[in-house]
Amino acid sequence: MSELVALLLGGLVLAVGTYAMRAGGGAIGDLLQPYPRLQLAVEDSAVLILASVMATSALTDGQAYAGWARPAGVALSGLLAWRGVPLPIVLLVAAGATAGLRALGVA
Amino acid sequence: MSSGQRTDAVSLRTVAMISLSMALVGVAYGAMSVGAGLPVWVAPLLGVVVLAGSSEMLYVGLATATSPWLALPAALLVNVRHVPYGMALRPALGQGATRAYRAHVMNDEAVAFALAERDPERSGSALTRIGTGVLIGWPAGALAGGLLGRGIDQYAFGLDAIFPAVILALVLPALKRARLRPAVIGAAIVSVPAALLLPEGLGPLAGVLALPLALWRSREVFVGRGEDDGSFGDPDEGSGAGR
Repeated sequence: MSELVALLLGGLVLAVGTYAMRAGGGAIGDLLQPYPRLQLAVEDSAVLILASVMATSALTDGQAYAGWARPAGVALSGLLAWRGVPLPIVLLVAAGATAGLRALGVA
Repeated sequence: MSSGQRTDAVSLRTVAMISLSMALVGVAYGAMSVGAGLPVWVAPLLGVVVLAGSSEMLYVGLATATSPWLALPAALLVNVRHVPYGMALRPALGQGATRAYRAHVMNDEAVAFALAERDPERSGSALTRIGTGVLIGWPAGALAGGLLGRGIDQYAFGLDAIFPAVILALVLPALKRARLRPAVIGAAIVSVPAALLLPEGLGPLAGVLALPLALWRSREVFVGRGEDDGSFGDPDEGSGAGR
């Protein structure tokens, strides 16, 4: 089996597995319908996971720190978003500040 | 959040912005895939069928460096967070073909917008719209990145900061809610050391450890809402990210 075919087969399994987790979560959610408190806990958990996705993707690269440039760029963009600056500008600032800090030699 | 208005959950302009930002991250993904020796069409293809950015980048990176069968469990692990996403968005999924489609486009950005809407129909419409925007932007960006080739250095252009910046902008409204603020901050603090210590993908799930900080004040939500009411009650309470 060629390497590319193996990679595509693995990719197909990844696609099926990911879809199963997304659809399966919905199916488990159906069972929670009679329990509003449990539902609130699940909704809160989803928000907390999103916040954690943000924190880990801003601060880490795999199992290492991402350095200073990216967290600084993301923090600056968060400040602008908080002040109500439109999203495209916020994102351009995030990338621009990160790139600028790296150009200045900040890791 | 403007509640009660019978307008669409998210404007096409918002969809275009999210689509464009995901395309920028996709450029880095496409360039990385071609740099690892893969044909140009592989990254866009995976983008359409998997549609889960971080797991695809991890899969392509690990699979080309080691073997696809070692990369697969790691990439699947990164996507485990979609199980609680699906559970939380259950009322917004609809039925039949709509439900099947919404389950596929349930990515981080679409989830953030959908959670911000309290009405199931508006929530589902946000899921469809933002999800479709990502389904277009992400593979299109990956194709562009592959065609541009190795010339794109995502670190030199700061492209790696775009994904966390998008999610941060979407989570900020939840931070403005007194009930969720301590829990959101707690989750962010817990998840970083967890990401450094645990296998990739488990760090974000560790954020759920902060759940008691949110539930401690959940009594407020149920006052005036009725115990047997569904999860989509008072538009100004409950959880929710996005705007």
